Amino acid sequence: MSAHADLRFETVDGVVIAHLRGEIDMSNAGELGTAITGRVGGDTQAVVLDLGAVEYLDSAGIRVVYDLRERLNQRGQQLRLVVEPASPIAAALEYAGAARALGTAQTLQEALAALED
Amino acid sequence: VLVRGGSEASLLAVSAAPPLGTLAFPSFREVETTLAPGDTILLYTDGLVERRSEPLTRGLERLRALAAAQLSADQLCQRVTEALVPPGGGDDDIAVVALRIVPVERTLRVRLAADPQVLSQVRRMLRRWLEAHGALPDEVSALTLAGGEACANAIEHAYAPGSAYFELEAEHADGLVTLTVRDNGRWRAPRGGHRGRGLKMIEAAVDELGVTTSETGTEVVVRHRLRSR
Repeated sequence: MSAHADLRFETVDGVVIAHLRGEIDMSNAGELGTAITGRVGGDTQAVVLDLGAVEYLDSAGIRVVYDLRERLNQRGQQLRLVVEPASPIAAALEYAGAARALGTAQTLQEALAALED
Repeated sequence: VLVRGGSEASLLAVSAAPPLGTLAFPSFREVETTLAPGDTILLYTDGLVERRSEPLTRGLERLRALAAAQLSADQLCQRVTEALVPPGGGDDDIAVVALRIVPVERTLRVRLAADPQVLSQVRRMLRRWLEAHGALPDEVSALTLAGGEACANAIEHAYAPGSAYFELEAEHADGLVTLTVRDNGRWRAPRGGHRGRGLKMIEAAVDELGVTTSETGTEVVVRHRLRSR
């Protein structure tokens, strides 16, 4: 996928779970966003971005998350983020004022449970 | 060959093994040694030292003696290839690689291509430099993010990716870390909700952010006081 990040998908009951790993910046954020968007179909209920193994996330990466959310919301699909509180990217989301705006969960189970039917 | 501190050279006790790729299930013995800042390890293929007319030990000793010099990694490669590659090329392939453990400088100063691909390298350099200067893990993260965003900002200013350069400087004096990123591009005012996010993140992450723009380029200065110092 990219020199310093990788992406793995899992689909559970219409929910696309994207497990991201590594460092996300201006060099690979767009490519990762396109790959995730490509996995979303008409029958997708929601997308969960599992950022548990992401070690770096910059403003370019956060922008891609916002764009993805906007695209999903237009089609009535939901987006949830999984970020552990101790993760180095928790601070980055906080600095960007995105932690609350994007609605993060601490675990995958919590994110899945928070999805609205 | 291991070159300590740029002058004392010794041969590592490595046992001979079959060439890579010749056996389906080869076994190799690992050898471990500790390198200090300034040390150099010189890797080479046998074509560099083997001569039909003489025992291998003589070729190895010639290489060891040549490597015992205060030279940069580049100069070291040049010195051994100039001295040991026979005129018109040898009978065998020759490859030489010199790896130097670069000591962490008091001031970090680099000029980089305005290409998003350099950002991960910027982060590695900053993390290493910050750790060496006593920054705590959360300070390393915050300053690496601030430096990374400032560099991404400089890269965005370049008109054609890869064709322009920017400069990054990191200084530390009495617990105060200053990161400076300079580019030659024209400042583009943040537009919409997204373009200003990088600068907003720097402001939230560190003590102080300054942006100066002029006809010749943009300078972003980040200042942050380390708790530990």
